[in-house]
Amino acid sequence: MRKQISVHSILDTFGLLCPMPIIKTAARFKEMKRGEVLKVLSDDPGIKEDMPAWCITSGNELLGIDEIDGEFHAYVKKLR
Amino acid sequence: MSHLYFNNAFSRRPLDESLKAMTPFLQTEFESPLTESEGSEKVRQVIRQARTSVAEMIFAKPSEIFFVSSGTEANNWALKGAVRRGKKNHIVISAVEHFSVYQTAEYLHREGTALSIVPVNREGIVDVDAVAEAITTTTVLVTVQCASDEIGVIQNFPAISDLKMRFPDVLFHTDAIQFACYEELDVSRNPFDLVSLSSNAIYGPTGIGALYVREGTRLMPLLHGGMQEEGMRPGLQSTGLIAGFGAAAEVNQKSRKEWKSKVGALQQTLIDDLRLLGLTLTGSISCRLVDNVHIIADVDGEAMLTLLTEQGVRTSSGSTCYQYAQKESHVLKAMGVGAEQARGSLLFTLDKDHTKEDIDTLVGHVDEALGHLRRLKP
Repeated sequence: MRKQISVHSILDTFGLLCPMPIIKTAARFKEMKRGEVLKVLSDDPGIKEDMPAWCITSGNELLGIDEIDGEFHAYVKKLR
Repeated sequence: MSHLYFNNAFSRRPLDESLKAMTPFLQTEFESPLTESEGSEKVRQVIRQARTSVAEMIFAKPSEIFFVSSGTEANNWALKGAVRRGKKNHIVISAVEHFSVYQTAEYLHREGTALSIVPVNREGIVDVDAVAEAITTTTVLVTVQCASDEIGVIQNFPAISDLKMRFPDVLFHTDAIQFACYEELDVSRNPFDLVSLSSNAIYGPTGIGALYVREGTRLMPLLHGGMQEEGMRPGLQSTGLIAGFGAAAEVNQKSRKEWKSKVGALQQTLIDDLRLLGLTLTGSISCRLVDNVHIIADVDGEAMLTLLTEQGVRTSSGSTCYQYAQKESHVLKAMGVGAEQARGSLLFTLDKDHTKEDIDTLVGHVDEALGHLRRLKP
């Protein structure tokens, strides 16, 4: 659990399969400022591959992904 | 022969406003809302506007409205989507739910979900305390309709939705499909998490409905594989049907009170006239939709239907599913109506455009058919 990360916004994508969590992350980032952190909740294991790949291509930073009770909590920092 | 249509609980004639709103999207404006073009933007605007109109009808946010193919799908999604969240595995329904709730619950029960069915009294009303007592630590969802499509009885839904305060971890769903045409549901005051709506039930086109999902509510989608409806209900949207639904929702907000007053007066006339023929209403009189007149006659309902149909009266003997199966309605059974008695069921659902003359003509035909069948009785 990444308690030390200051989260600015939470996006719950429970029930949605990738790429929907990524698409919603990109949409939410449009409303956020550079340097802010988004916590993305997902129950799709696909996020473990898709989120790092998207962060590389979009130029944002993945701070980490935790797995808690079958749920994935991804922390993404907006850099661009 | 012209006919008198009293089957509005099953299907209503769409408003001219709906048909007008739909037409361009069934002809020339066919582009997908997910592509990038002028045509797509037009489609997106129409869907946005319709979503807003449907949301406003129940005081919701547009982002809380998800378009689906029907009220039946909305009910299926609410129940299955809640159960498939996992962890908790018990649902509570009332004994008088529409088939699309009742049988979905039975289906989930066969798959392993625990099911509690809360009884009703002889008026068809659910005891709110019994709903609360049925809730356990494993309950994921409670669903009690706002009003019955079959007997028209309106439940004490404000009290049921208030149970959300006592049981915040439980999802509360209501089937407001028949209710929404003439009555107001305000989700900002009645804290349901999920509400099912149907376009045709408010005089929009068939083939389109909506599920209200309160912001922050977790629900598993029924379908996967697309981005439409935020990925929660994938599949290319039918823009025409959505536009028609939105137009009906707009008209409903403007005209609902006037319709209710007019139809309510006709309902009272019909009830009074049928009473003079020795026919009494099924279920509560005071808690009732203004368009529903369900009676149990002392003759065979199917025989009455045959005679009325010959006179050009379109009506039914209750729930379509049961009518086809020639089976006793679970709703009437739950109210303590015996199987033999239930065979005398007749359902007349009024229309906003009916007139006093229509009611008089209907009563005349009922009187004639009833007299004929009563004379044949041993």
